[in-house]
Amino acid sequence: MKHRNRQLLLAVVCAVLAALFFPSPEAAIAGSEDRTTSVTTREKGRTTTVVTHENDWDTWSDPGQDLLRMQRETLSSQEEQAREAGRVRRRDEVEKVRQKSSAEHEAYYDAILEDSQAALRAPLGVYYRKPGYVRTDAPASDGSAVEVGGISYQYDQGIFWLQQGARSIVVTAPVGAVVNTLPQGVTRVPAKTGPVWYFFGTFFAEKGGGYQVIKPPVGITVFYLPDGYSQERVNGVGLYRFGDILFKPVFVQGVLAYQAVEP
Amino acid sequence: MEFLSTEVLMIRKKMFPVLVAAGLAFALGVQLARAEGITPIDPEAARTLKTALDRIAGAKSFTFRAEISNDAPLPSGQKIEFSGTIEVAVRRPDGFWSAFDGEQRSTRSWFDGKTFTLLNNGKNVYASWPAPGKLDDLLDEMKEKLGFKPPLSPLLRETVSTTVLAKVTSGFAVGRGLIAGVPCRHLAFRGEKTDWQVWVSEDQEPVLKRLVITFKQEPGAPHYAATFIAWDFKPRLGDNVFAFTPPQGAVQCEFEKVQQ
Repeated sequence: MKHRNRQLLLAVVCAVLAALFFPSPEAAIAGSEDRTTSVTTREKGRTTTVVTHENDWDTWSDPGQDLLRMQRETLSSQEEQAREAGRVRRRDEVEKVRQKSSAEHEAYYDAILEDSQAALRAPLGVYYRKPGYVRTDAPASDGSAVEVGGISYQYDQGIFWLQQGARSIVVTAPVGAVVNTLPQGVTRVPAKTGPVWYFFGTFFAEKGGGYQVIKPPVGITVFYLPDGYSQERVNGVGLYRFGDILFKPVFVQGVLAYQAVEP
Repeated sequence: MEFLSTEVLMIRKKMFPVLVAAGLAFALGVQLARAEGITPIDPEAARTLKTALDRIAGAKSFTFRAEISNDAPLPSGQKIEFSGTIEVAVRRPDGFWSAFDGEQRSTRSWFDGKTFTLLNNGKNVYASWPAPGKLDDLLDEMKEKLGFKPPLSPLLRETVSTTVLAKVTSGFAVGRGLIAGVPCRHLAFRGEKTDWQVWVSEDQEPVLKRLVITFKQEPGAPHYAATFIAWDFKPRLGDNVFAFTPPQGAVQCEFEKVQQ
C-alpha cells in the first residue's frame, strides 16, 4: 500500500514536471505580450531558447501601407495617388530625355513636357480643369447654375465656370456656393467641425441636402495639391498657395501632406 | 545478475507512471497545438534564416539595393501594384542612409547619431528630428513618436537575427527556388498580423535574396515584396554619407507627432 502511494506521488510529481518541461507550443514560440519574447527550438534532444525584446515584422508597417490605410478611409484618393505617380514619372522621363538632348531640341522637349502635363491634368476617371482653363464650346448640359454674391457660376463635376462672352473660364470655387452633388474622386477628410470633402483645392461641407464650398478649417490635412498651386515664403517659412488657401507642408507618418494654415 | 534484473524491474516499475504522465502531457500539448492551428517552427527553416540574418547582425557596416513592390487594393477590389527601388547604407551603431525611388514617392533619409532627416525628393521638402543615440534607438523612437519607420527597418537592427523570429507562430522550409538565377532556400513563416516568406541563397555565405510580407489582416491582404539585387558587407562609408545638407531651394517642414 505504502509502495503504491509512493508510486502515485511520484507519478503526480512527474506529471507536473512533464507539464513544465513541455509547455504549450504557443507559449514556447510566442512568448508574452510584452516586449520580451522567447523562441524555443528543439533539435536532436537539445533545447535552444532565444530571448529577445521585440517583434519587428508584426509591428512593422511600411509608410506606404500606412498611407494606403489612410487612403482607404477616403472615397477614391488612391486614384489620385496613381495619377500623381504618373505625373512624377512622366516628368522624370521627360526631364531625363531633356538632359541628354542638345540645346536645339530643348524647345521640342519643352512642348512634350507641356503636352504631357496638360493631358495629365484630366486624369482617367476624374474630370478636372485647373483655374484659368478656357473653353469656347457650350457649357455641359448636366451642369447647374450657382449664384454667389450676385455672380452666376456654372458648376460641373467639382469645377466652377464663369461665363465671359462666348467663352467660359475655370475659377477657384467661390466660398458659400451650395451644390447638389459631389464630384467623382472626392476625398473625405476628418475635421473637428464634422466631415469635410476635398477635391483639387476645394473643400465642401454638408449643408441641408447639398454641399457648401467652405474655407478649409485651419489644420485640416490633405495629401495632394492641385495643379496650379504656387510656392511662396512667409516669414522664412515655405508655403503653398492655391487661390486664397495657404498650405504648409508636413510629414504625416512619413508621407508628405499639406496642412491648411491661416491665410 | 539476478540482483541486476530485480533492480531493472524496480526501475521500470518506478518509471512506468513517469512515462505515462510524460506521454499524456506531450499528447495534450500536441492536441492543443493542433486545436489552435499552431505548427512549431521547423528548426531547419529557423536555422537557415538565422544564418542569413546573423551575417547582417554581425556586420559593422553594410549596404544593399532592392527592388520593391507593394500592393494597393482599391475600394473597388482591384489590386494595383506599385514598384520602386531602395538603396540602404548602414554603419553601426549610429549611421543610416537610404534612398527610395518609387511610383508613389521619392525620398531620402539620413541619420548621423544625432538627427534623423527625411527629404521628399520630388517636392524638395524635408524635415529633421533630433534623435541622439544608436540606430536601434531611433527605430524604436520613430515608430512611437512619428508613427513610421524606414522601409525594411527590421533588417537594420543589430538584433535582427533574434527579433525577426520573435512571435513567429510557425515556420517551415517550402523548398528550393531560383531568385535572379541564384539557387535559394524558400522559407515561410506566420505571425499574428503578417505571413512572410524569405528566399535565402545557398552560397557559402548565405544572404537574403527575396522577402514577401502579406498583411493578412488588411483588406485585400496586400503584399510587400523586396528582391535584393546587391549586398555589400564591407563598404567604405564615410561620415559624409550620413550627413544631411539641404538641397538648394529646399523647404523645411515638420513631422506631425503621433498623439499619445
